[in-house]
Amino acid sequence: MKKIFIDAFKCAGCKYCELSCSFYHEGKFNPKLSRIRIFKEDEYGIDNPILCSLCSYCPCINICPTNAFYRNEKGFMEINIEKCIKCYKCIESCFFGAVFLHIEKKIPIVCNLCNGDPQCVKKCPTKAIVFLEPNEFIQKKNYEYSRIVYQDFLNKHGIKIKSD
Amino acid sequence: MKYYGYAGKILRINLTKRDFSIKNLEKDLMVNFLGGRGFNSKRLFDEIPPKIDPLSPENKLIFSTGPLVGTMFPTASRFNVSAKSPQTNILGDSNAGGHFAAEMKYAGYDQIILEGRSKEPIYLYINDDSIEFLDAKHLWGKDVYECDRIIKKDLGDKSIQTVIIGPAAENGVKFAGIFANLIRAAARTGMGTVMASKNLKAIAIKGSKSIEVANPKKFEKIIEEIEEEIYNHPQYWPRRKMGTTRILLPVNAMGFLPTRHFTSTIFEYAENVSGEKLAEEYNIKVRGCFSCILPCSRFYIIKEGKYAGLYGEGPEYEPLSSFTARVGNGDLQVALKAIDMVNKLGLDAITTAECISWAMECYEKGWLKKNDVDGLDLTWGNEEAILKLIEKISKREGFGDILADGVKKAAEKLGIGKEIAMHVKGLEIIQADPRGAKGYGLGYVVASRGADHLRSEPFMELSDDPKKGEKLFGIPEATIRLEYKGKGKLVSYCEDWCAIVDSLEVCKNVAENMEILPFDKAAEVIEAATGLKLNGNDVRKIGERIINIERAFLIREGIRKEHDTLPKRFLEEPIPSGISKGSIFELEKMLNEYYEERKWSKKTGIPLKEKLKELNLENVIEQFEKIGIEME
Repeated sequence: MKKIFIDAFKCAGCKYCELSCSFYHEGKFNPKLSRIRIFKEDEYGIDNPILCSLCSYCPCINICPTNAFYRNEKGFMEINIEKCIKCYKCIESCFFGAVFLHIEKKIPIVCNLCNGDPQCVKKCPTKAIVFLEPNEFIQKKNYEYSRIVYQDFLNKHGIKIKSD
Repeated sequence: MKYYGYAGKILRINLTKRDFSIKNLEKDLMVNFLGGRGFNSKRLFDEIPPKIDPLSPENKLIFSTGPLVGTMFPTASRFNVSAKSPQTNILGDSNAGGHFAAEMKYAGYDQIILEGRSKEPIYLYINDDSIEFLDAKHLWGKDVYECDRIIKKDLGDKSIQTVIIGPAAENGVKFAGIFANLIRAAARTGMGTVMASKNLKAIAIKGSKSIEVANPKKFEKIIEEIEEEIYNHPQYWPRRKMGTTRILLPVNAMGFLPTRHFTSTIFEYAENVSGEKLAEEYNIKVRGCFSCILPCSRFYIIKEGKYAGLYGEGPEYEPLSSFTARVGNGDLQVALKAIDMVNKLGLDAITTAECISWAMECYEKGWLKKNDVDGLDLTWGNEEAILKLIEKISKREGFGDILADGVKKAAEKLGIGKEIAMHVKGLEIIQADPRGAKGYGLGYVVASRGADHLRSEPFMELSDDPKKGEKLFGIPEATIRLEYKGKGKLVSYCEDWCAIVDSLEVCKNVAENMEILPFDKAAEVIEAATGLKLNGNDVRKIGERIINIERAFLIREGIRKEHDTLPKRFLEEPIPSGISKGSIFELEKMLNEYYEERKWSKKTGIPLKEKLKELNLENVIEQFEKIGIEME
C-alpha cells in the first residue's frame, strides 16, 4: 500500500504542507490544525516534517479504549469523534509524535491521507514529501544517495551529473 | 465585526509601565493603508511628534504584518518594523521574512506598538492574549544565536518564534538590526538600536489562532494561478539555486558592480565569489521563509580551509557583494566569515561594509594613516582588517567607535572623505552603482529611508527592453538602464508598487521582481482574502498614499529638495571602464521628471496641496499649516 514518505534533507521548512493541510481539512489557515508538522532548528538548518507513518502495528489503535481510532476499509486512519473520550492515550502511544491535538476542539487528529489524495504531497515545492509504494521509495532514495556519494568522484573526472 | 485576512487586533505595550492594551484594528487603517509598512508609516506620522530624539522613550518601535500573512499565499511571510531612525534622524523602517510574522498573526495581532523604556533589560513573551515581561539580564551581551538558544530553553519550547538584537545594538551602534530566525535581518536604519534603547533584548511569540479568508474558493483559485506562474517563471530555478546571489555575475558583466568603494565597477575576482561558486561548492540544502514555494535561502558548510566547520544560512547578494567586491576581497570564505559575524553581532551588513570600504579608500588616498586606525593595515581586501573592524564597530572600540555612527557622521567627525561617503540622507548606498543603473540611482535619491533600492526596486530597467517602457510609460528609454529619460515615471510606478508589496508583506523578489503581483492582481487577491472591494487603480492609490505620508514625515523633519541627491562621485566622475564606461548620473533631469510625476513642488520637494487632497491626506495639510510649513 502506498504511503507518504519524507525526505527531510529536501525539506525547506516553508510549512506550505501545514497550510494546505489545515485549509483542506478545516477551511482556514493554522499550522496548529494541521495533520503534518515540520519541526525546525534554524541554527543547524533542520527541517523535518512529521506525520502518521501508517505502521502496520498501530499502538494508537490498540490503546484506544473506545475504538474511536480505527482504519477504514481503504486502510486510511480515521477517528470517530463521537466515541473519543479525550484520554489522549493515542497521542502518548505514538512513537513519532504524529498524533496531534486539535487546538480548538481538543480532540486528537491524525493524517488520513486526505482520503487518497494527500494535499501536502501535491503542494510540497521541493518534493520532500512523496506518496509512493515502499519499494518505489527505497529505489528512489537509493539512486539519490548513490549520486551524492559519487558526485565528488565524478566531478574530479570531469563528469557532471545532470539533475532530473 | 469579523476580520478576514487580518488578525483584527492591535497590541500596544508600554515598557515603562509594563502594561498593555489590545484594541480592534481600525477600519480606516485597513482601507487606506492596507497593512505592514503602510500601517507603520501612518502610525509614525500620527503618533511621533517632529524632532524627537530617536533614542528617547518618546520614540515608538512598531511591528506590523499584512493581510496575506499567515495564509498560504506564496511568500507572504514578512513584517515591517519602524521607528524614527537613530542613524538618519528621519523615517526608520526595515522588513524581514522568516516565520515571525506568521506567528504574530496566529497570536492575533496585525500590529504591535512598543512604547516607553524598561528600566531593566527585559524580553517579551507573547502567547496569544498573555503578555509577559521577562528578565533579560542573563541575555544581555549574548549574540543573536546564543540568545535564541537560551530563550527557547528558558521557555521550554523550540517552536517559539523570536526577534532578537545582538551586542552591537546594546553597545549603541547606530546601524544595528533586528533578527528573526537568526539570520533574517530587518537591519537597515538602526531599528535594533531603538529596540536596545528600550532595554528590550527580544520578543518571543507563539500563537494558536487561525486566519480565515473572505472567499476561500476564489482565494484557492488565485493561489493555484500564482503557484503556476511562479513555477513556470524563467527565474524560478536560478533564484531557487542561488537566491539573490545569482545577480552578482550579471551585475559585474553589465559593469555596475561597486568595487573597491565605487572606484571601479568591475571586480576581477567576481567568478570566485559568485552565487554560482557558493551554490556549487558550499551549499548543502535550500531553506525557505514561511509559506514560500520558492525557497531561495541556502544552508552552507565550509568543508576545508581556515574556516572549515563554519556553517549557516544565506547569504544574500547584498552582504555577499559587500564583503567581496566593495572591500576588494576575492576570498569567498573570508566573506562568509564576515557575514556570519555581522549576523551574530546584529549589524546591518550594507552599512558595515560601506564604513569599512570608505575607511579603506581614505587609507589608500593617505587621508587615514595606520596609527589613526588602531594599527590595522587597511589595504583593499585585507582579511584581518575586515574582520577586526567588524568586531571593533560592534564593540564601539577604538576606530570602530568612529565608524559605529555610520559613514556620514564618521566623515564629519574626522573631517575627511565627506564627498566619498556613499550615503543619501545618512543611509549608506547598496551594491549597485547608480551610474550604471539609473532607475536604481533615482530610487536612492528619493527613497523615504535614505539611499535604498527596496523602496522602488526598478528591476525592469535591467531588461533593456524599449518595448516595455513604451507600453508601460509611453517612453521607450524608461526601461533601458543607461538612459535617463522616463526614470521619473518608472521609479514612481515601482515605488507605489513596492509600497503595496511591503504592505501586503509579500516577498518583493517574487511579487515585484518576478512581476507576479501587478496592481490588478493585487486587488483581486486583497478582495478574496479580506473582502475589501478594490480595483487596480485603488490599489495604486494606496501605494501613492503611503509614499506621500512617508514624504510628509520627512518634510516635518526638515528634508527638502536639496537632500534629494547623490554623492559627488556619481554626478561628476563617469564610470571609468567596462561596458558602462562614460556613464554619469543626470540628477536634475531625472529628479524634475520624478517631482512632476509625483506632483511634488519642483522648488522644495514638498507634496503639492492638491496631491495631498486627492489622496485624502487632509490631516497632513493641517499639521503642516500648524507648524508653518509652506505648501504650494
